[in-house]
Amino acid sequence: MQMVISTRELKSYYVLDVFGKGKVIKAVDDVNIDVRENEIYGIAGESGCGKSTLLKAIFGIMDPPLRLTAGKVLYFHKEQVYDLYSLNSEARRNLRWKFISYVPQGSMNVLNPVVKIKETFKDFLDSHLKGKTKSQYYEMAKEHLASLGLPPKILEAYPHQLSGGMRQRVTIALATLLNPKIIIADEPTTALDVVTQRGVIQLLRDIQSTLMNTIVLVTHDMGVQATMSTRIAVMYAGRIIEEAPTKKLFQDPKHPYTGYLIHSLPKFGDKSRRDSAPGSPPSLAALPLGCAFHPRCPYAFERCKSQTPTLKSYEPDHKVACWLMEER
Amino acid sequence: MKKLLKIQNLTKIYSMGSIFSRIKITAVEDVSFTVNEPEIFTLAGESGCGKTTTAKIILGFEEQTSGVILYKDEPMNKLRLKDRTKTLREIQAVFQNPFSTFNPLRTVDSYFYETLINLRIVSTKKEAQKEISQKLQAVGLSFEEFTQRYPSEFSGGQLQRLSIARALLTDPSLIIADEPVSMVDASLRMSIVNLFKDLKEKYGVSVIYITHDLTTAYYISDRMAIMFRGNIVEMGPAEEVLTNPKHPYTCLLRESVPEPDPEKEWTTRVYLAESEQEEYLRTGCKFVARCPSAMEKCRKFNPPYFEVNGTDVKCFLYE
Repeated sequence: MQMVISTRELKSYYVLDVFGKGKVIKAVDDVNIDVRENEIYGIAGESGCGKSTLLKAIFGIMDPPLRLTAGKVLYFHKEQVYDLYSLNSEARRNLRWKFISYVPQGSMNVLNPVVKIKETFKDFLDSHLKGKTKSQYYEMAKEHLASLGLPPKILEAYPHQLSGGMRQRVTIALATLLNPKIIIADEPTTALDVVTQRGVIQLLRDIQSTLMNTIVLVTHDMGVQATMSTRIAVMYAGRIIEEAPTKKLFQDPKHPYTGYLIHSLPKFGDKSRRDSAPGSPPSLAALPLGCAFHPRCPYAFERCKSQTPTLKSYEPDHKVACWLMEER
Repeated sequence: MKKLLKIQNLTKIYSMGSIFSRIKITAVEDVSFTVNEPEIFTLAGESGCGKTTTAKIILGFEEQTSGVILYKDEPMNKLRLKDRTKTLREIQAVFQNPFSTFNPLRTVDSYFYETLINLRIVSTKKEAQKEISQKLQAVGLSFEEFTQRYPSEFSGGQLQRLSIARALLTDPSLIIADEPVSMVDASLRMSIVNLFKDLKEKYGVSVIYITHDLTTAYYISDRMAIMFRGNIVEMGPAEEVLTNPKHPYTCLLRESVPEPDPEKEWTTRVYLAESEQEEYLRTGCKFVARCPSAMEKCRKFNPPYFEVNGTDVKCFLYE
């Protein structure tokens, strides 16, 4: 299948200066992912594991103290390969929103509170298309909302007049305005109620099936991952530790951490005791030596304490970074 | 089973807007329920359904517009006037965000000593230490790793355990936990949920667990109430409410929970309300605009509760 984004040994660190002492936070460490056309690629992991930073690195938002330490991000667009970090800002800007768009975290708060929704849409179109009249832009915005099944009258509203779920869907509509090939969504349904969450998931899936594009979905909620994603990568302490198609991952998680993440979820109709992983996640500024999960892992042995496992394919389409796989 | 807390016809009305365009939002409307001893009672529902307001009224942070709260058969507001420290000792709270529970510039242990001394539970520091280490043990932390440390030195999961331990210091009979796990890391969430279960089983503490997460509610609660726009729409044993939902809203809610099972797919589509305000102001059943089986009378009259299989359902379908 055609690839759309791939990262090669991507390392992106926060380099801080704390009271004259340098401090490095390895938020994204050695990440190799290949996102294909027409799929929903989920990135799962708990807060502080580096998943939002990975998205920023993929989208090309590198604001200090975040730095690209090593590696590449490649975009595949119209049979051409673009190396994101060798492009100038003008070329990068041209790719944004036409090829790749981004729904940031807490995006229901990104709308300008003092202008109507239609002004936001107009500004957006104006900066990317240019050379059209105001009413043409409004017309385009109206058509776009109608195609997503949202009521066009919300264009006349101010953000505070809309419910949280509606605002979230407006930002998704903004992100899809120019029919991008990839939509990156950072926790799009967190902080929404279940029914609203379902409405947002429904919208994202509709967009994906009509445009046949790719969605990179970041969320810590394994329930949302299971209902939406076609392939999932699990992240822990800045690294991808397992990657597999959704069904395979849920049926047969190989990494002990993934196992805990999936088996600790309570289900309806089953009241048996669920236990979460012992200990707590490590700080990215002071990672343990070897595999970052070894202090919490019940199966850890000598090798885990000194060597860091790399992500390898053990079955077709199923990659794991764990020394236990070597032992088998 | 003994009744610990009884709430009768609790109503809270907030006024909004200026004098010219004042609107009244009924945050909690005619809510009645009881909490037995010991049990975990869950109040579930989406944001803005009045579950937190109910908790605030029980804790005394807000005053109800009308209605009575009976604690061990005595009205709460009288009890508060008579002996304030006693009510503080009996009912304790655990809040949603463990990072904002503690002041970042104060050591965590200062809160513990303060609680013990202000509520006159102990008189010397030595006794206090003994008491604290006992309570820390109950939540799985040790006294050594806790003394003289600031909130920033703990993880979210640890801080939430600490706030539970702090609530336990007074040997309460009721803990009100408002979304205690929604800010805790996914891999640690269940350990906090299990903690509440253990507290009930080992120490006989009743818990009012307030959540929007139906799966953890199913996992720990004995009885539960589903709230919608200020009303309890369905109340009964958790097992029955969630495996066999009756009110159309509960059905929708139950169906919309994304389950960690890739085999399950949604076949129907949902319709969302554009703005929440009109639903609060509706006179009949508040769910009528989104209900698939709405009838003419649902628009005009507020449905009473009907009993079906041990659960109370506020819907005309079960008349």
